[in-house]
Amino acid sequence: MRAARLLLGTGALLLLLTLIPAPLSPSQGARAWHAGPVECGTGTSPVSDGAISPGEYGENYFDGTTKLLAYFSCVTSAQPLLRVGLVTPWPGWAGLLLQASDGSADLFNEVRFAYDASTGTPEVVDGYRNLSEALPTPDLSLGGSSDVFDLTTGEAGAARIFEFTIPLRSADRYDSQLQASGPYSFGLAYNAFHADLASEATGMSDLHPIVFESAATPGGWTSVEFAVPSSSPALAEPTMFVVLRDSSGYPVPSTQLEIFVQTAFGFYDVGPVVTNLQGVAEVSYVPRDSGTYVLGATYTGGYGLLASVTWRTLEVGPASGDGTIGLGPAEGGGLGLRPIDALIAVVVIGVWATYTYAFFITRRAMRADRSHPGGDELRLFKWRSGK
Amino acid sequence: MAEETPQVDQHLLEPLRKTSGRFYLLIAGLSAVVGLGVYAYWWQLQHGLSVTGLTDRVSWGLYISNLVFFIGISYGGTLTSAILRLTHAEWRRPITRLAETTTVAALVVATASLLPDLGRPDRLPNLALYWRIESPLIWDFVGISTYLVGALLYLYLPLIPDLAAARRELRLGALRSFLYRLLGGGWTGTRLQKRSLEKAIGMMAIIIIPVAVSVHTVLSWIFGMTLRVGWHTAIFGPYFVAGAIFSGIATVIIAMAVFRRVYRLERYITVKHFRNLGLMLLVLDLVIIYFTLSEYLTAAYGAEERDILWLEVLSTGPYAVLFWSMLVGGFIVPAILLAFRRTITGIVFASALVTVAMWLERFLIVVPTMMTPQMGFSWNLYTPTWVEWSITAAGFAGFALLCAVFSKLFPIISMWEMSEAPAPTGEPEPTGEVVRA
Repeated sequence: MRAARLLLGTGALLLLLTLIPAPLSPSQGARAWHAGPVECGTGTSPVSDGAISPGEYGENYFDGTTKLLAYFSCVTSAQPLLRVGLVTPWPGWAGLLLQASDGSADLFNEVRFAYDASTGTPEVVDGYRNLSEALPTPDLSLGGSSDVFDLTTGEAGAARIFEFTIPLRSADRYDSQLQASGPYSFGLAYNAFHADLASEATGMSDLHPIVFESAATPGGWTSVEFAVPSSSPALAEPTMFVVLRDSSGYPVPSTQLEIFVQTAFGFYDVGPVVTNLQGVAEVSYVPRDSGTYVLGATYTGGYGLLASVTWRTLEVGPASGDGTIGLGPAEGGGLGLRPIDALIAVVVIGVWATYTYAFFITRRAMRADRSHPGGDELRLFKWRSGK
Repeated sequence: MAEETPQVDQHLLEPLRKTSGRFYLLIAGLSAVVGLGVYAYWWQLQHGLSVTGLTDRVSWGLYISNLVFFIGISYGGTLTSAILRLTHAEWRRPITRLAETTTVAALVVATASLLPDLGRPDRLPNLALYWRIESPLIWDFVGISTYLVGALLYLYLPLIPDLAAARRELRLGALRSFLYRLLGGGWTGTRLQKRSLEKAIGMMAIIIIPVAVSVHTVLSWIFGMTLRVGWHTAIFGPYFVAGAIFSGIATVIIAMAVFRRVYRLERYITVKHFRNLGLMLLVLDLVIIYFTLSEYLTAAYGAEERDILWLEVLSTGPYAVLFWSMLVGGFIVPAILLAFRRTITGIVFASALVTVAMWLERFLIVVPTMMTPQMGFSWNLYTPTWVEWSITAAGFAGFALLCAVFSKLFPIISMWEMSEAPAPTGEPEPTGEVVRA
C-alpha cells in the first residue's frame, strides 16, 4: 500500500509540474529592432542608383534575425508607390513581403532580388504567397504581371544594395492593393547561399507593421563607419574601430552598436559595443581559423534617428607560428605537432603502452608456467595454498 | 567433481551448463529486434539520411543521443569495478564482472551507434587517412577506441582463472573449448601467474579510471567547444562525467537484479550490494540535481536572447513534458526513493527511472540546442522516423543480447575472486523488504 501511495503521489506531482506554467518560461523578447510601426512618409525623394545617400529615405528598419536593413519612402498620388532600398550581407537572394490587400493578413506580395555576377545585373521575381506555403508563385505564371520598377543594384563594402519601387495599388490582382494608410504587415526574407530565386528562404523576419503616412517626419540620418584591416592572421586580434555619425557628420558618443561576424556557420554576435565620448568604439574579436569573414556593425536606430549598417570583409590567414601552446592549425615541419599535440600524443601512447604491458606480463606468466613441473591442473586457484 | 575441486563454486557454472528454452526465446526476441535495426540501417544506406528526421539544421538526433547515453552507462561499470577494486572494498567481488560486462557491452553498442549517423560510411577511412589533431572527431575516435580496448582488457584479465576452471569443469563444445583455450589456455594457477595477473589488473584498474573520465570529457567537449546555446559551458565536462557514472551505476543495479533473479544468485548478490550501490546512486543523483540547476539557472539568469529561446523550448515548448519528466521523474523521485525506500525493489525501481531519465537527458542535450536557430533560420522541429526508432531499439536489444550471451559463455560472477573472500551471506532483510528471487 505504501508503495502504491508513493507511486500515486509521485504521478500526481509529475502531472502537476507538467501542467502548471513552468517557472522557466521567459518571454521571447523582441526579435526586430524597431519601436512601433514603420512609418513610410513622403518627405524624401530617393534616387534609384544602387546606393543609399544621406537624406534619401526618411524611414528604415533593421531586422536582427535576417540582418537585412530596409529603407522606405512613399509616393502618394493616384498611383501610390513604395520605394525601397534593401541592404543585404548575404550572397543569396533577399526579399520583401508586403501584405496583399486590406484585411488579408496571410496573403503577401513577395518580391525577391539576387545579383547575377556573370551578367552584372540584378534579377527579380514578383510573386504571390500564402504564408502557409514555403515558396511564392510568380505573378507571371498566374497570368499576372511583374510589377517591380526602377530596379538597380550596387555594392557597399561587403553588402549589396537593391533599390526598387513597387505599386501599392497595382492593376495586377496578385500584387499589393492597399487602399487605406494601414497599418499593414511586411517581412524580410533571405537565402544565405543561393541566388536561385526559386529556392526556399533560409530565414524570415517576424512580420512588422507598416503605415503609409504622408505627414511622417523623416528620421535623422546616421551612418556607421567600420574600420577593419583587409587581412589578419588567425588567433591574432585585429585592430577594429567603429564610429557612428549623425546627419551632420559628427560622431555620436555613448551609443550602443551591435557587431556581428558572419562565418560559414552563421552569425556570431560579437557586440554590443558602446561609443566613447569621441563617438568611437573599439571592437575586440579574435578569429580562430583562416578564411573569409564578413563583419557587420549596426546602429539599430531610435530617438528619431534611422538605423544604419556597414559590412566589411576580413581575410584571415594562417596563425603565425610562435611555438607557444595554441589550439589553431598546426604549422608545418616534422610531424606538424605543436607542444600541446605532442603532449596529447605522449599521454595516449602511454595509455596504450600500459595496456600492452599488462597484457604482456599476464600472457608471459601463462606461457612460462604452462608446463611447470609443479603445476596442478586440478587446483587452478592454488596460490591460496602457497604453491 | 565438486569434492575434488572445492574451490570452484559449481553453482556459478550452472548457467554455462544448462540453457533453458526461455533463454533461447529471449535470444530470438532480442535478435529479431537487432535484425529490425539492421534492416532499418540497410534501408537508410539505400535511401540516405533523408529517411531519418535529421536535417541540415538538426543534424544530430537519436543516434548521437544513444552514443552519449551508452558511453555514459559504460562508465558506471568501470567505476564500480575499478574504484572498488583499488579501495579493496571486499563487497565488490560478486559484482565486478557484471559491471565490467555492462561496460564492454555498452561501449560496443555506443561505437555501433556512430555508424548510422554517418551519411557516407564508406568515407570512414578518411578519418584515419586525413586526420588532424584539432578535430574533436579525432579526439572522440582516439578516446573511444582507447577506452574500448582498455575495457576489453580489463574484462579479460580477471576472466583468465575462471576460463581455465570452466574448461576443466565443463563438458565443452568445440567453440567454447577453442575459446577458453585461446583466452586462458596457459593458466595453471601458480603464484607467479597470480602475482602477474594481480599486477596487471591493478595497473588496468588505475589507468582505466582516467581513461574513462577523459573519454566522457572529450565527448562533452564535442558539444562544449562549439559556440552553441546550451552547449558552450565550462560545466559540461564534469556534468557529463557525473551523468555517466549516474546512469552507469543505475544500469549495473538493474543488471544485478536481472541476473540475480534469472540465475538465482541471491547467495552472492545480496541486499548489501544494492544498498551500497544505491547510496552511490543517491549521492550522484544529488550531484546531478545540483549540476542541472546550476546549468539552467545560469542560462536563465543571463537572459541572452538565444538562451531564453532554448530554455523556452525545454520548459514550455515541444519538449516540456520530456524535460519535466526527466527532472521530476528521473532525478527527484529516485532521490526520494533512494533515501527513504532502501529495499531492493525500491532501489531497482529508482535505477530504472534514472536510466530512462538519463536517456531523456542526453536527448534533451542534443536536440533542443540543434533546433535553436543560430542564424536567422526558422525553427526546425525534429521528429525521429521509424528508421531511427528501429535502430535505437536495436541498440538496446543489442546491449541486452551481448550481456545475455556473455553470461552463457563465461561465469557472470568472478569465481576466483569469490574463492578468496566468501560473499556475504545471511544478512537480515529490512522490514517490509520484498525480495523476489
